[in-house]
Amino acid sequence: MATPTTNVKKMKMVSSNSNYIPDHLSFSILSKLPVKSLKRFSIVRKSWSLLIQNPNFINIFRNNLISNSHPLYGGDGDVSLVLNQFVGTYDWNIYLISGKKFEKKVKLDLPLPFHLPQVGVTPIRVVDSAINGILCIYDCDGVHTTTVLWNPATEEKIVIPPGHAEFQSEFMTQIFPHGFGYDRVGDDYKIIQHVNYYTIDDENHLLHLEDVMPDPFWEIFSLRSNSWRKIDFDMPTIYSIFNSAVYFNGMCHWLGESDTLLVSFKLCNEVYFVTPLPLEDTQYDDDFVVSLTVLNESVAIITNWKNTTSFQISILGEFGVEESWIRLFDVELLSTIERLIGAGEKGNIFFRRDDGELVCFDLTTGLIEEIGIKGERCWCQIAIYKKNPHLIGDKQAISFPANA
Amino acid sequence: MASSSSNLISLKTSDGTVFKVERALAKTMKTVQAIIEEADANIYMIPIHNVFSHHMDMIIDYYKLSVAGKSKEFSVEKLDNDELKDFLLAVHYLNMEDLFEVLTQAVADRLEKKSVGYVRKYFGIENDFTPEEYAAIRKKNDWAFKGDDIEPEEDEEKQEE
Repeated sequence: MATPTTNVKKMKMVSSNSNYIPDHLSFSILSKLPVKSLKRFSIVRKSWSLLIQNPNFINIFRNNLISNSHPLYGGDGDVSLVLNQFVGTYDWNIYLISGKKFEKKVKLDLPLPFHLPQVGVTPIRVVDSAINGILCIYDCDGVHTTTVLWNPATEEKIVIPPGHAEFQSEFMTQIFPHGFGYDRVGDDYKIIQHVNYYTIDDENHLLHLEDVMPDPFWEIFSLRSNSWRKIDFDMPTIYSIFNSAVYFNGMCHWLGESDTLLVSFKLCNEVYFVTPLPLEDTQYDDDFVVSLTVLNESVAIITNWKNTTSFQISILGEFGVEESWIRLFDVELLSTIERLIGAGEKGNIFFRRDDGELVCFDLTTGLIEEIGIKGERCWCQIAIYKKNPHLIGDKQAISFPANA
Repeated sequence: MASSSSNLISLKTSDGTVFKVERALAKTMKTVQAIIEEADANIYMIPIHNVFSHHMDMIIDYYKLSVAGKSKEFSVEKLDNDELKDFLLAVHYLNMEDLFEVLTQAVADRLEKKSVGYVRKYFGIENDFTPEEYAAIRKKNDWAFKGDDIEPEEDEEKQEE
């Protein structure tokens, strides 16, 4: 019979073979690491380096990745989706959707001035995602841009004052919000937008004429100061209007340079990273679609050839590092998808199918669920929405956990 | 002492302490469950090797929390990395699925920013790459070593002038 050791030594006691951890135990630990750590530890020994490329291991790794609850939204079940549905040029709706089979749908009454008929073609757009239950809605009537922060739960609406853009009859002004997010350090909601001046030539190309027009610029809006400030950065601007921009964890991300670059802008210190996308030569093609989203805690791109049944997902290991993209999924569906319209919780991603139906694909089960709403073209967006009963700017309205 | 209640199972840890646990808790230990099922007669006392009484204390804590629906409140913060490893090995021996997932995630979280050298020591592994192979694979994954929050490699620190 073993003699009990003294109390003093109790917690420090380790079993005799404490240094040896069986392989499958270490692999289980590895499968729960973030991409960067996994890549670093691949040089611990040869079998680990091989393991990381093993399809079974990758399967477990990605299942862990998508089944870990999103820290900002996990747990309390008050999470739903917001859908920006584009039906036709003057017909769009915003829905709040909830329920496992998306059975609960509530159409929202949009705040003014978005009720007014719009002349331009650019559909109303929800910038990025819903931050803390607040939507940033932006609309352009061809001349003027209106940007509004809106909390559907309280119906509070804040109209954002105009920035530094100039308007003159000699040229056209394009204002494009690229990101809406929350700066945790400054406790401030911010919007980053780009202003460009152009004219249209005979072939309908947009031309910026340097001598005739003011320089394009970036500016940041701070809700705290209720003002815009120009910033002197040379960042790539967004290429396509929809599903190339997303906010996560203090950073605004968008795809620029014809969807070949990822720009990641940190709101608290205005540092930005440019990461080339992992594209093959053949993929620099208009028919190759790249969408940007966030899969739990990782920035991800979803790629597909237009009108095919398969898509791929890669996640980013480290900003600014092209080699750190990791291909996680290669999915083959039975129906043709057109384009990603957003990501939900856990492994849910949403697409517009070629018959117009908006569907949810669950990455963990491989099952497709129709939302029961159709959308026109690819101009629909879906984002995670968590109801916020407080006023925008209220201290207790911020419900991010301490380490998010 | 023979257990007369069929609802409690007696488990004896490596340090000689006997724990009387509910059958439901014993069921979460697949290793113990297999022993119970194999025994023809009622088994009085099951010895659990590699498991010490301080491990059992934590296992019982976790069990109580999970029965109350509060498994998220279970924390291993007070354990240092070696104690955590030791606990994981005990839970692994007992083949307890849920707690195993919790602990492997906890170990992963501890190791996330560590150096390759630390990880080798932690797992008791030797580097089996040739110097050339190592240099090549190290270079290929160079980006994964950069960052102020990543523990620097010992051997590389020495090489820096």
